[in-house]
Amino acid sequence: MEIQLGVVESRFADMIWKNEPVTSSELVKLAGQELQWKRTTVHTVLRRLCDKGLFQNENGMVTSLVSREQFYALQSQKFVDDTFSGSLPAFLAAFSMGRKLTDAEREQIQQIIDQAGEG
Amino acid sequence: MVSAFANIVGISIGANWLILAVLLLRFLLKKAPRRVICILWAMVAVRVLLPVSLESPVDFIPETTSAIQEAVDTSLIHPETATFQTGIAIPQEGTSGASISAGQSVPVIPLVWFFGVLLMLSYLALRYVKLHRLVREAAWEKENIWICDAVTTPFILGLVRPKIYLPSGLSGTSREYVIAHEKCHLRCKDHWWKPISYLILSVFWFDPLMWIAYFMICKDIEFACDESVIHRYSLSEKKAYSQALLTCSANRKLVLACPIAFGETAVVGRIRNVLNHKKPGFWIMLVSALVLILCTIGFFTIPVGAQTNDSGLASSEQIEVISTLPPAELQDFPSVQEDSEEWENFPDGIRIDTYTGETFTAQVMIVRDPAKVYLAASSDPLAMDTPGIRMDQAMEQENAIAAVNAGPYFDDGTSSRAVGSVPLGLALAENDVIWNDEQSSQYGFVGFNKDNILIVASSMTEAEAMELEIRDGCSSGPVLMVNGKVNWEIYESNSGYMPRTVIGQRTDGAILLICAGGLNPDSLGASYHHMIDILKEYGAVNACALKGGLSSNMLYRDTEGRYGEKGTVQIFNQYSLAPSLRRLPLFWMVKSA
Repeated sequence: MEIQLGVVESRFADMIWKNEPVTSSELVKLAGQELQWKRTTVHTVLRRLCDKGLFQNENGMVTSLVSREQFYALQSQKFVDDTFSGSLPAFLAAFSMGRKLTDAEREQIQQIIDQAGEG
Repeated sequence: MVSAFANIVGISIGANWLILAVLLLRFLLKKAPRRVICILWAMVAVRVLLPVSLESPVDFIPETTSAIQEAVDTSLIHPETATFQTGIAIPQEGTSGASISAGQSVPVIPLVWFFGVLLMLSYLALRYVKLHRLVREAAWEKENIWICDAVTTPFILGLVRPKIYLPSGLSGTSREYVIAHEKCHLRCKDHWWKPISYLILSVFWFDPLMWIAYFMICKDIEFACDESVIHRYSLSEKKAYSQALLTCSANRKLVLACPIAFGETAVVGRIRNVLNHKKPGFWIMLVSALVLILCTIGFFTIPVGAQTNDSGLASSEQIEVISTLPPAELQDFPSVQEDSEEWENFPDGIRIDTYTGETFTAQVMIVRDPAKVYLAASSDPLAMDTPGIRMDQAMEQENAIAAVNAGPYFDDGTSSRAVGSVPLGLALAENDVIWNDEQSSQYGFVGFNKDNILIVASSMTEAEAMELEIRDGCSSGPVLMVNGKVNWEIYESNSGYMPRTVIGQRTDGAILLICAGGLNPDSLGASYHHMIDILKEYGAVNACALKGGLSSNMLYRDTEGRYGEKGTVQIFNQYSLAPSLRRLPLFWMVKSA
């Protein structure tokens, strides 16, 4: 599944993830405050995100089909695929070239690698 | 539309001098702050929008302008070379006999101009609609700043409450630079100047210099804002700023029309300018200030365009001016040279020329002595139940040497005897009011004062006629010329081809009576346009139309035997529709010597 969101769209998507389940009229109010969107714009974007398979709108109740974590996992997967031909070590090498990793960060990464190996 | 276009051409010629001046200064003042050039452009814009001039000793525009203007006027006024005819002559039933609606002549060039303007404006509207649709999903960031996924270059949209739109991908320092740049645009009101420039360009789209000016303005306002943003920056900051410029220059096509976009124009030049920018020195600032002051004085005192109105009467209101005999320098064209030999071969003081136009033949009668021309009535007193008389009868009654018809008269469209019995409006003969139906405000007026000066006016009351000491005169119109100025509204109107009679006066006092035939298969008739052309050619300074149509006629007692047997009365207009002369209440007559 490949879903791409612009910065503004992700802001709106975050708003849903944070508040779900949320009614569409509630969403209109929220987006009106935070993004200064009109009602019609909210509905247009919501419909588009539903079409992409990210959310569903059933009788005015909006819920997610893909969780925020799943979505960003897919995004980073795609990023690594596109930029480093799917090579995680290459990505990590590039990432750590510009800046030194702290001990705590190293620890965390080690844990992630260990857990991934077990699974 | 034709006169609007003539005005526009006039203004554009004046404006082109200003544009050339700014382009030259722009070249000379390369080191001056670019905002100076922007101010100069703004002055040009204001000047084009307000083409009225103030008095000043400094005058930048060469004299030749008015000559070019005249040439343009002439080519517009004589659009033979650029007209197409629509429709053909269709005879129609009129109230007083028949009239002909002439083929309409629509000048092509003004029409093309008009559609060009429409095209330019629709392009602008289209762009605005597109951009508005694009930023519908923009999210509010802070203050007047919005971010939008769909745009790739930052820009400002809106006039009253302008908003800065940033591409959502823009972040970090680039974003700060861009915001500083756009805020500078807002401070300088560039979001107004640019659409104004575009609107001016839309009207003057035919003028290549305007296009150059427009693109230079777009460039200069960007340069100016770049300069004011990087004013205090270090070299590395300047480099970062240049990087921001480059990032945002990706998609330039979309916003070309109007909104101010960050990466829009001349990115390479702007980067070079940013990196090379040095603070302008004292002398450069001083010179810039001087240039600004001089240009302000110069620009605002140059007459831009308005010549078209000076040389004519733009609207009927201006005809309220009562005519006098104007000095030659006030006239549209030089008066006919005094020619002492003009009358040598015309002992009766009457000269008749035949003037052949494309659609008509006219007789131009010149009467040397205006005192000999007077208004004759069919009966005394004039009354509805006393029918009018025919012009040949009137001439016998008056023992006059020549006659033409006078102004409009009562005609209810019937064949009753009352038709042609009384005139409409006001009539005076030998200093007495011989008719006044109190309706004279509806008509123009033509007559002689006691000094034999032909007075023409857009209306005349009895009291005014008394005050002006009108000797002979009657309601008639429209006024064709006043004090050497042509009535452009009539000149440019489509008056159609008709038999027409007009009366006019030259500066030497001689009276012109011109009668064009028409309503015949071989002669359609003349328009007011034609009649004014003849009047101009014969040096008239004041002139008014008399009644046209089937009443239009000229009679001459051939004292010299020029047309046949001596003493016979020559009738110049023959109408196949109405073989006999019409009964009329009033005639302009010429006394015999």
